[in-house]
Amino acid sequence: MSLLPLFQWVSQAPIFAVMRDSKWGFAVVEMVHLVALAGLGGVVLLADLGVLGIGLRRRDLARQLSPVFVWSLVGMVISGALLIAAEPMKCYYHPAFRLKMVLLAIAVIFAFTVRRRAVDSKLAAVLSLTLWLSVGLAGRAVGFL
Amino acid sequence: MSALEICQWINDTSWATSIRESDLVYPIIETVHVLAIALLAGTVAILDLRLLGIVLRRAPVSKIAGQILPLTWAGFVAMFASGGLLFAAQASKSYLNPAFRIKMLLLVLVGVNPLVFHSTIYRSVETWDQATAAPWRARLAAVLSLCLWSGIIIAGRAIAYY
Repeated sequence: MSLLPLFQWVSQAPIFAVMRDSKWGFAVVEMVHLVALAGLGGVVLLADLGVLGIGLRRRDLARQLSPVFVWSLVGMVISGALLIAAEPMKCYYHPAFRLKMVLLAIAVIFAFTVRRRAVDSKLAAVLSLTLWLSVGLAGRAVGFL
Repeated sequence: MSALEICQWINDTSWATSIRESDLVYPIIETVHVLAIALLAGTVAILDLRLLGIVLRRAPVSKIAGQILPLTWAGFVAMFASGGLLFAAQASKSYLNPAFRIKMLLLVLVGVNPLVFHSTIYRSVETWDQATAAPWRARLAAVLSLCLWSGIIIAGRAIAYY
């Protein structure tokens, strides 16, 4: 199954015209994406570094910060989807974008499965940090390449 | 020497020019600047949310603040260093950029906020350290901090659009 028809539909859909055609539509959504990054990245850093003995050292930190994680992730995914809607065909064929989506899927699945169960595992914390940093770097590369 | 002349001088130094003209160095510094948002604004936001009684309700405020602070400082150093280099590379342009000016103003305000917070309501933190939500003046500081940091991120992104 190819996602190409979906991306083609998005690139034509009148509902996303504001994202495609207005400079400020893209800019405003990108700003939301970055503000949500502060929340998501802040939680990931504090929860994972905490397990490694850096910064906040509390038991079960990841679960206590989980509402901020979930809401920031929701904000990032919605704003991210709108950013895709602004240039769907560029994204579809962009290697950094494809890599980012794969890494994002792995990071999210990892966060809600392994990381959530292995709360005190240093290995899980390091893997979580690495995955999210990779998502961020790949995301930055979408803008540059 | 006017501020604009100083910016022009920074802009024209050999190192600022080499950052500006590098295909690799500028994007790398910019990436550090963007991702370190999490380390600075992200850690500050968690403390703000604790003051508001939204997360870590049972943890003493002073303990959370003390443990988060080293990471926040690390974020500050990373942001200040990378931001300084990004500014230097585009100093003349930045000086005239309205979004940049707004960002600098917001940065001053976001610096004054914790100074006021620590010299007033935080002095009596022992009396409300365990409270779920902090006193209203501390909650006000938290809301101001969240708004100002969001504004700084937004203004920072807007610099590229002018």
